[in-house]
Amino acid sequence: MTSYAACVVLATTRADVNGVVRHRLGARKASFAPMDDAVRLSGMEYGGITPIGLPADWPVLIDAAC
Amino acid sequence: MTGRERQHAALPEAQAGEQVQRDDREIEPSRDPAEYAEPEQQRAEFDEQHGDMRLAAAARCHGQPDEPSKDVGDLINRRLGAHRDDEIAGVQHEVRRGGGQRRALAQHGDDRRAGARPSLRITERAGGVGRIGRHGQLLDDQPLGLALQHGQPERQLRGAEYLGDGVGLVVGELDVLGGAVAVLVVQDQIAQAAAPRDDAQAPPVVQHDLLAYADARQHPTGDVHSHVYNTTDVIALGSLEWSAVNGDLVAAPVAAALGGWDAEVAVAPIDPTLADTQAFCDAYGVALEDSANCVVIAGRRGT
Repeated sequence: MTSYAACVVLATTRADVNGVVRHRLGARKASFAPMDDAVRLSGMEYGGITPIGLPADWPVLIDAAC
Repeated sequence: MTGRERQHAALPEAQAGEQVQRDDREIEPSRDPAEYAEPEQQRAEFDEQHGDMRLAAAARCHGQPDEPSKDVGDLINRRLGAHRDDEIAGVQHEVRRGGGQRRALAQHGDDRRAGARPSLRITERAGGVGRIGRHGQLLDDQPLGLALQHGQPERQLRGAEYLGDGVGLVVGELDVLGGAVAVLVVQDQIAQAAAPRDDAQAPPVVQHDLLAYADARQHPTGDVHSHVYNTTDVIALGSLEWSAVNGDLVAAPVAAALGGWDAEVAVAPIDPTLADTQAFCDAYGVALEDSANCVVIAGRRGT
């Protein structure tokens, strides 16, 4: 079963996908979603996915530094 | 990084602003500090340049006692660049030990008219909110309301924006003074500076309803400007061209999620092929620090 989430991080930083994010999601494994999935499920254009308007069941994790 | 996405398509105003960066860069003082040594002298300076000043800005900054806030000048310059052709040429900065708030006074001069060098001055104040004298000088420890009594600024302000952590910029005019005014909103305090302007050269006033958030992410300061404003003509981030939210620029789910909130959101068209952050920033002149990525993560449970 795959669940999705969005992470918003500053461009100067990288999301700790396999650590912080994975723990937060309670997932066994976490990775960047394939582009096709991200675009299809979000209904947004690649390169233009914003945290606003993502599917309601997607957690949005925002780095406090943002 | 597969799936790395960018957030620029729609930024709530609170997120569009930049962090206030406090660094130690030396910025060439545009004026001899001694010129500002005495309030009377300062006032005379303002009087002398009565016709030259185009815009003034005041800021009250809460920072580390020894941490310079020269960056405020940069912020003002960059933001005012969206409104004015001329820029603040230099920043004069003064930091004293012992805490207190810093206040920046930016004098936005018109070099073409008098060769006056605009300046930004940051000094420490013990407390209180400054109001603005007739010629733009800051008068200590006066409630902000006194400054607002000069006019009906909420109907004449030209724009406002969130600059960073607790700092916002409001630009507008006070009709009685006949001058432009810029306000930096810092945390829950607002200070103002006003300056006479040359009517012939003044840009037209945009009649926006304005919102002056003490903290743009939280609540409006109801006793100052309670209106929601349109950010689209005040956001300046690289060469991105911001406009109001419209269906051509945002996906349907985004527009739906924004609902009635879109008055506070501006969008800018971007080249979707610039998926790499560095390429994006280079193309639009946006600093990496000003950018955020929205990354979509897929998590799997079980086996």
